[in-house]
This record gives sequence, structure tokens and C-alpha cells, in this order.
Amino acid sequence: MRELVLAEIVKAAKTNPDIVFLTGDLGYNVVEKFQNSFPERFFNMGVAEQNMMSVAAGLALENKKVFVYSIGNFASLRCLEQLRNDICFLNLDVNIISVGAGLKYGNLGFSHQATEDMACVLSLPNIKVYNPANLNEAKLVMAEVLKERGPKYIRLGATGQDYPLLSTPPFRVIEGKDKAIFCTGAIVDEAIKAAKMVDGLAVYSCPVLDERLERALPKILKNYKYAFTLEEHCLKGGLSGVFERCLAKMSSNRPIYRPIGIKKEICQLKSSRTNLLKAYKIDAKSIAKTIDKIVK
Amino acid sequence: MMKNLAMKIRKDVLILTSKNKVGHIGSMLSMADILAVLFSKMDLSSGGDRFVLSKGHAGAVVAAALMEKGIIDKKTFDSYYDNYHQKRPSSPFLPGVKYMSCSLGHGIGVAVGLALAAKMDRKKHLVYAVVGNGECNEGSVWEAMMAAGHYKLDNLIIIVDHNHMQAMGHSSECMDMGCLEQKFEAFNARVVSVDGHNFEHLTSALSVKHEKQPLVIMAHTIKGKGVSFMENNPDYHYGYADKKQLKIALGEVKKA
Repeated sequence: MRELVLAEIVKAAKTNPDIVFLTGDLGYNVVEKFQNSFPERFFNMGVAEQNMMSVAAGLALENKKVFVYSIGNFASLRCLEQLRNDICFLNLDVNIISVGAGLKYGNLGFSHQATEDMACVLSLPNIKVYNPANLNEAKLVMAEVLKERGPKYIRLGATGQDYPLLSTPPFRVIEGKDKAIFCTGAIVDEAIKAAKMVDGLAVYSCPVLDERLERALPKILKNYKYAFTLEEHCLKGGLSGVFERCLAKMSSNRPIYRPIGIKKEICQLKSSRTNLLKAYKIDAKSIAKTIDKIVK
Repeated sequence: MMKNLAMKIRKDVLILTSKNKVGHIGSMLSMADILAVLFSKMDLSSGGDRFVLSKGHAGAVVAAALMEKGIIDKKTFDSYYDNYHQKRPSSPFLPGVKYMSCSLGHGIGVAVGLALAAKMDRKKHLVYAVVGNGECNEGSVWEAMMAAGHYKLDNLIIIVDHNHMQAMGHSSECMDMGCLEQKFEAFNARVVSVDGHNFEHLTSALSVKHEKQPLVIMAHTIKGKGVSFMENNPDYHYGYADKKQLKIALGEVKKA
């Protein structure tokens, strides 16, 4: 997914001389694609994310379209105030490519598991948050990112299986009957597998998490008796936060709702993403079990 | 002329902070002379030099200098601390100011971005940033200096208002950083150390050659400068002059 995102940026930079790329000394064998094509517009800002965000703001104040590349927590939590004050407050065109999101770097332990980033970034003003599940979604997201101005947080986790994108987000991946699970990021693959174990479970993918999702949801939610969210993220303020706000505003036809995600008390493990999904009970089998318990 | 400008700036902020009962007057008075020199030398027109204030708690002193230079009107200056009564909020920064941060340690980074953009666009304007010495406790200041040195930003001029104090008192007691000049030098900046209340020193420091490196002007100042009972007095970091004190303060500033 990183390669696709980089290729899209490089393609756009050929016709847009204002595109600038900053990296926090990350992206070995990925970001060179931009560096080699446009060395005068590529800056390694060193292992210093706070400054990288302030510098991005300075460049954007001079009308540059800035891309910033780093890993999940370093591109969000480490520099949250710079993001808030220097970038979001001024509504600047800074586009953060946050890689290894969720549990992708699970082997590296707690520091590298980005499980609160969406909640923190979603709470900031003006910024749009994207969390594509696969290459098709990433392509769609990048088309918007390259076209629109303003701050954006592009969360890239594992790369899931492609499916055809037939509507506008949120995408319905599998049709169902009385229950639906709404996912964000590659973890949608686990929900697709779970749908084979749970009768009548519709699966949706939500690569866009801003107010557009909040607006689209009530119409969809009223069709289901049960609704679930699934995210590679903690259960505070991410996708579940968007749903809780939506449901609170629905006066009728409100489905019974349960969020599925990472419960805080078991965040001390380090292992592969596959193992951690199981440990945190967000793998297909566990998801099917959780849904069964609520539905029965 | 600069002396007169500095006197007017001091008078303006003493009145404004007293009227609004807001603090940081000491931090403003310490940099009044720096601004008098800088705003006399800088191209303040739009498209001209870029100005960043990193010690944004002293922002009203910039507003005063801009008013005295005829760039903003008195109404804008008077509403610096309160735009509630205006029909809509004013733009986040004053005209002539590219960025201002009330959270410390952000300004040099933004200035580095502005300077990089100027280099990319082959523009000749300069980027000036005023930072505080207390602010230099922030790690992000040094992250920014690391980048300014690495990218050889000779279009970047940083003026440190080094009043040797910070929020809780004297810097030597709050957080002793030793020699600040050496630290900036270690990050590949050209550093000149001056008396921050000497107009000639400040003026000549601004034209020091600094090929392929940023210039840091270490302006040693006195917090609360110009008002005897405010000078080096930690009370006036968060303090302001009450009615009686204001009268005395204005008298002292005019006489100086």
C-alpha cells in the first residue's frame, strides 16, 4: 500500500511543482521513489517529528502541498500539539502518511502499536482522517488527498484483499440481513471471514472517517437490528466514537450496537499481527463469537 | 528614531496589559528594543521578509510595533486581547506576521519551513524569528536548529531575547542551560552575542555575514526593561501594572 501511495504522489508531483515530501528518517526503499525524481523537493527531517510538523506548516504557509511520512504513533502522538496548533488550526495543506498503523509492527511492541492515533487525530479541528483497507481504497483516497487542500491524516496499516468499489464510502462489501459490521482498514478481511460463520452479516468498509461518515450512517443503520464496529484501534474515540455520536442522535430505528476493537487491559503483548489479532480477540473467529453472543 | 519607537512600543503595551489585566509585560518590555530595530530594518510589506514570533505570550508587543509602524490601526491593537465584541473573529495572526505561537518551541520549526520554501522558490526575502531563552528548554527548539544547520539556511535569522529569566524566576535556578551561544554554535549556526538594548549593536548584528548557515543573534536583555520596579522581577512575568503603577511606569518610560 505504501508503494502505491508513493507512486500516486510521484505521479502528481510531475505536474504539480508545489508538492514537497518530508520524511522523519523513515521509508527506506519506499520514499526514494520521490527523492530520486524530485531531489530538490525531498527533505529528510531526521528523527524529529515535532519539528517535521512545524516545518511542514511553514512550507504550507508558503502554499506548498506538503506530504509528511512517518510511523503511526510518531506521526500523530509524538507531535500532536504541532499538528493541532501549527497545521490544523490554520487549516494548512499538510498530508500525513502514517504507516504501520494498527498492529502491523506488532513484533516491535507497545511503542510501535498505533492503537490510539485515530482517536487523537479525529479530535482535532479541520483534519480529515483516512484509513484505507486495500489498494483499491488507497487509490480512491489518494485521488481525494491530491485534489483537496487542508490537513489530512492517511493511516496505512496492513494491506487487505481488494474488492470492487461500487458506491461511495462507506462501501458495502458483503450483503446481509438484520446485522452489519462496519470496519476500517485491512481488518475488514477478518469481518469478511467472520461473515462466513455468521448468518446474514453484512460487512461494510469505512476508509473515510470524517463528518461524511457521520452523515451517511443514520440512513444505513436504520436497516439493521444489530450493528457492530471493528477496528485495529482502542475502543475510545476511533471508529466507535463516530458510531456512538451517530447513534446518540438517532431517535428511532436504532440498532443494538457493540464496538469491537482492542481492549486496553491486554495491550502488553508483542508478536506478529496475525497472533495479536487473535490475542486481542479481533480475528475472524473471535469476531463471529462476539456477534453470536450479542445476537442470541 | 529607534529609541523613540521603542519608547512608544513600551508605552502602548504597558497601557494595553494594564487595561486588560493580562500578564507577560516583563517579556514584552525585554524585547521592545529588538523589535524597534528589527521592524525598522525588515521589509514588512506583503511578499517581503517573513516574521515569526515564537514567544507568543509577548505577542502584544509585536502588535504595538506594527501599530507604531502604521501597519495595523489602533482599533486592531486595542482588541488584541479581546475580539469577542467584533462581529467575527479576526484572522489568527496580525498582518506582517507569518506565524505566532503561544505554545513554546514551535516558531523556529515553522521559520525553517518558511526558509526552505524561499530557497526552493529562489526568493530573496529573509525569515526572522524571535524566540525566548526560557523557550530554549523545549527540545523542539533544538530539533529545529538541527534542521536549520543541516539545510544551511542562510536566509534564516533567529533573535533570542535572552533576558536570563523564565516563568518561575531566574533561568539559572529554574533550568540552567549554561552558555546558550555555545549550544546554537554546536548546531552549526553563526552566533553573535549583543546587548539587546543597544540599538547600534542590534543593527550591526543584523548585517553579520553568515554564509551557508543560519544567523543567531543572542540579545542579552533585561526582563521588564525600562520600568525600574519591573526589571528582573519575576512578579512581572505573569504580572501587569495596576492603575497607580501604570502612572509611575509611563513616567519612567517617557523619561528614559
